[in-house]
Amino acid sequence: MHKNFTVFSWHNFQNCAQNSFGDKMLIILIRTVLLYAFVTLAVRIMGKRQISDMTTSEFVITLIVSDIAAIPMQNTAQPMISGLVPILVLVAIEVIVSVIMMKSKKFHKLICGNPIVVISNGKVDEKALSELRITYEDLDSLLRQQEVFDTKDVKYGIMETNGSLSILKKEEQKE
Amino acid sequence: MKRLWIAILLLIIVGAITVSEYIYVTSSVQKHIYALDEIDKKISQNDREDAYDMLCRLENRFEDTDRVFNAFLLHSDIDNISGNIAMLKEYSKSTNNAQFLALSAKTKLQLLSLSKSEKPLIDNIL
Repeated sequence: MHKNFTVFSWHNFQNCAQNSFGDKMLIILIRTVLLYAFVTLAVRIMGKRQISDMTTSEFVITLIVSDIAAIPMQNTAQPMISGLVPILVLVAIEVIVSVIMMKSKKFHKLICGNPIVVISNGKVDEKALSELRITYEDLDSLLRQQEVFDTKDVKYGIMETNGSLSILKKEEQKE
Repeated sequence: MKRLWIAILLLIIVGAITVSEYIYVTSSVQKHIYALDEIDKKISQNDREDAYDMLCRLENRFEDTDRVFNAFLLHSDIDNISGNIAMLKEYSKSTNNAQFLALSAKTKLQLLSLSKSEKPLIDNIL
């Protein structure tokens, strides 16, 4: 009786992998490692900041860098340099902009804006809130994160340029 | 301040890479287009053996530039041109000049578009 069955061979497997996905997966693996190292270096050059302390532009640049790095990682038809060059340029521009912001108050104000007083002597400045497009609920939430449960306990509440709220409690509320 | 110098150095390196790439791609493309023009003349004169030899040399030269092109340009664009050159080699053996010249014109346009897309023109930037 003649048995008809397919014999698995390592040679067939290698041909299959190379003709379809195998060599591309290897390229993706290598690119991912290289881009990971590169993005780590880029973030290192940009400097140590927590996400909550970043300025708006720094946060946007960080997001863009991660998006750009993902493109050549997934698409092997795209040259890797098409990801590296924009990342390098963005990092360089970000560092230069941050140095200029450090030296020039006007430039700093242009990029980051000014902190805004939203609470003064326990009273909420509604105009400032509408300028910032935040609601009372948002403000209450930010106050609660600072362990403040009543706006009357606050002498000054200042919305910083990075979106965080700094508060100075009234003397009698300080412990 | 150290980071500032690193940033400036990065910009200089990137500038050097982009300028070198622009010069290399545009000059290589010009050479390939010139070679194709010469091959077209040979085909028009029905000198198929010479045309075939020139195409073989062009194919080898394109393979040499292929690596650098693949590092900077879309791989699919480069593969299309390589495929066209391989087809031109076979068409050069046939007596149908029109077919050869049509594909040669298409290949030259594709090469030209590689060079055009490198230029920092408004329509490329937008």
